[in-house]
Amino acid sequence: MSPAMEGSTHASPALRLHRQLAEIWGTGPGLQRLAAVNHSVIGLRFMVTAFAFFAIGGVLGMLTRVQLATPQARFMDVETYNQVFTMHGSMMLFLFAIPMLEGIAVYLTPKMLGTRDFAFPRLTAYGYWCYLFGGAILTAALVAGVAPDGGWFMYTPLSSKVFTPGINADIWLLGVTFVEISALTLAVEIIVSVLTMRAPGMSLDRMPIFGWYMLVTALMMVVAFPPLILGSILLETERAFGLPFFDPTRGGDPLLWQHLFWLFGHPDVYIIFLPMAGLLSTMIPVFAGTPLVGYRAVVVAIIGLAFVSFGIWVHHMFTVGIPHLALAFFSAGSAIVAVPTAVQLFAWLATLAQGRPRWNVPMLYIFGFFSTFVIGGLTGVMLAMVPFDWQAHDTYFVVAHFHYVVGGALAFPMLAALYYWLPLLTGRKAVHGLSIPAFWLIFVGFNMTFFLMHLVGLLGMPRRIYTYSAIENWTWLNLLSSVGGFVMTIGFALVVIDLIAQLRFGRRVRRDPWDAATLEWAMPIPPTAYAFASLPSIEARADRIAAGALAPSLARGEGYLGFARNGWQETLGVNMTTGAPEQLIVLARQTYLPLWTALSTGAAVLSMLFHFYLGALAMALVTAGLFVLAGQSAGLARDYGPMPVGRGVSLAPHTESADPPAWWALIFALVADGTLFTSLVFGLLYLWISAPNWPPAGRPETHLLPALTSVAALVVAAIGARGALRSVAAGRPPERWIALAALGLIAAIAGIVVLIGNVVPRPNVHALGATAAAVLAFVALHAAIGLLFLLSNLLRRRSGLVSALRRVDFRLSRLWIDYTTITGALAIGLVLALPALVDILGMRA
Amino acid sequence: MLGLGFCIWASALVVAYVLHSVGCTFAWPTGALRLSLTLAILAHLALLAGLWGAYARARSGPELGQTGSFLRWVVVWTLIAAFVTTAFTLLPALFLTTCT
Repeated sequence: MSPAMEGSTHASPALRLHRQLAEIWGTGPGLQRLAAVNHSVIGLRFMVTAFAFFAIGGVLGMLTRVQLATPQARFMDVETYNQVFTMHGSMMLFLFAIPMLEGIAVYLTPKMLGTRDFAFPRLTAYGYWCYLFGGAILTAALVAGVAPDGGWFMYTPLSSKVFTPGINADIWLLGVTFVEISALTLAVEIIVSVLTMRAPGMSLDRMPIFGWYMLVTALMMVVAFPPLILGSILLETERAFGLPFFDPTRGGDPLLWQHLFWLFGHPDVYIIFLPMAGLLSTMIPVFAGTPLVGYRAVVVAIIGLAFVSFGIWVHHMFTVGIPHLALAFFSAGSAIVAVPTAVQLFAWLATLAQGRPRWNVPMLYIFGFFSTFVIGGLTGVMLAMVPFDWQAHDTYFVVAHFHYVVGGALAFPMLAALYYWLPLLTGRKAVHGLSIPAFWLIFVGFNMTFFLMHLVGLLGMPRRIYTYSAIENWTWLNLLSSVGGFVMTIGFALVVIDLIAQLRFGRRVRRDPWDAATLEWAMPIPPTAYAFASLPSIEARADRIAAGALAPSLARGEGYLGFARNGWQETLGVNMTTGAPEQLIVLARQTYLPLWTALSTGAAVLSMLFHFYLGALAMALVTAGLFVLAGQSAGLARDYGPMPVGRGVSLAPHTESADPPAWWALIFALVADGTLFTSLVFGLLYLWISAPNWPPAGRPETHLLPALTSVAALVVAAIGARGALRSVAAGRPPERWIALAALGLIAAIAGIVVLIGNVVPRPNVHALGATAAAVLAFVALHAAIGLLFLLSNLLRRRSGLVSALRRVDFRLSRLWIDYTTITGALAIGLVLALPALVDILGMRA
Repeated sequence: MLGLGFCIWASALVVAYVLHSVGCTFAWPTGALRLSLTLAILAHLALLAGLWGAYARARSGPELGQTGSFLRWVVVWTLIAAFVTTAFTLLPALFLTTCT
């Protein structure tokens, strides 16, 4: 319902406000849509694109089922089958599951938290374009017949150059890394937005449970994705330049890849599950008609689940020869992770038991979730037991397990959420003529397809084989499984037809059709670009509000920021803990920059794919330049001081705040970066202690002078950054200090280049040299990025975007250079310690 | 502080895994390896127990009101959960053979 449809008494102020805000926040028509940065637009694009990849991945899954339906089938040859099943898994995980949860987060989180948008709208758009282009690269490879074919987890040495000589594996490594950039940017954005941009008064204990789920999920993403990104970079450099990180004949170890991959891969299951659990925790109380039971216990369970999910990555590696004692750590962890999951399940069941549940289509899918996810969880506990895992490893039992977990955790809650939030998305009421048969087809088809895989797995059928003989008694189970797959697909096709029918013929619906208790229903539906005409003041738990009753007063502008000012996209920043309003956040407007930046990033990726490294370097520089350029249109050009934000409160803009969103964004970006650095150091130490062919033939040499010079230069840069910040704060010109910092960084880069040039053994000869060079290159890259920070400081100061009050740019530079100095000292210290480490290996058993 | 308990659990897991790897690689005597693992795990458990007691006794500041009580409750229960997780995941394994 648009504000024009409010009661006649209040129609004029609401309509006037609507027009003013829509003018500021709206996305233009035609090609201007490419400049959209609004969270509703980008969130919807994420979801639609993810669903398109789900459809492609689903067709690929069906092709594998056709191939396996009968023994000795000739539907596909082995090469095609390898590409099809690899792309099925890769698409479902990287192009559907993660982006779908991101789309849901982008679309729903600001609305549920009672704010107008995410903290960095241009970054949201950049994330989307990176995802789309990365997905397009992978899809184009599939069409061209050069898709990845080494399985969705790309184990080495199969994916190394020797065994996969074409560009198939490169496409996976570069394409998926491109998509991961999108995931990381969004993770940082979600964390900062949840922590600092809630509705005024929404303290942490009043936050809707979905906010907790998204906060924890995004924190997990920040720590989980860097190991995979690092692994992909190392494997790509091995393939492109011969650096032997995973080559056991030259001091590398294929198991290092498995560690890095599963450090990402296992938490990823929970990264997919937790947002869906957040949706369930939002929907179930609505249909039960009572608040969620055990809110605080669920918060503890989410935190516990997030941590424990990281500590059990080795349970994917039970068969690689790790000693029993260490296996037991991870086996016990894999079993106990079921406890926090069960806490949530029991909270949902208790909520249903306490209320008077009403059945509707979303509840059908919630029922589907319960039954499939519990089966998947229990088979997970079975696989956590080492003796059972040794029997079932790499059989179809595992395939069945993870389809139950991912299907149960993702598909059923996703469809429940789709039907629940469809009126919000479209403003139309669901017509359930097709929805119910669609559910039963999906539910029956799902169980028929995947339950039988448990049995065929227990009969010994290995995963990833492209055909089998008739004598193994797998035929009927496989045939029924394939039939089930088609039944399920018909169900999904019905869902699509149902959606189209509802978009076309569905009746207009009143606001808050479910009598829900969360803030996303306290706005016009479908939502306007500005989401809330004014921001609510929260005085109780934000998942117990009367959304329908609150909406008209917000539309009339009776909350915070119920007016338009200066053409600014305004929202409020709050205290992380108490939710008290602290700053007026002025968001960036629509721009084509995210599109251009993602295009240049994509060009860099494609250049690397075709081994045109100069072109890749050039496009990387263009990308960096576009980021610096984006800085020229962010912030405010003068000091404003406190300004009224409504309800008698005045606040300074974020540019004059001590802790603006950008400050927190850099901190969490550094957490991600620090995880990547730690993973790299772990890689070096892991190879040192575990890899074959160590120590190398030649003893590493110590080059003390360039090493100490580099560390000293980094310290000088840190001093320069501090001096620049002090100068700006005192109103003095900071240029000399900036020059000092820049000189320090340039000297550090030069010193590190000398160190890399003198690494012994050479990086392409032994993994010791390769990892030492990688650690040093990490520092040089960060010093170079530090130069970009300083360049941006200079340009923004000259544009009048920096003053004594508006000095966050210089704080960001100081933080970045401090971080570079600390990691640089650690990295160079580690390289200097390598000769001693090699000597210690002489004492090995 | 909400993640403190499980950060300590993560530290216990990493220290135990690293000690075990180093001990097995450099052929430490079984007794010494088992003792060092036990001490490392017990130290983490003691830290968790100490923090659990301290937070259970502490009172949140009046300026945070209900939010403070909520956060203290969550911190205490994450510490308890981390204590149980540390004991369950790490201690029983010490009865197994060390490096085979």
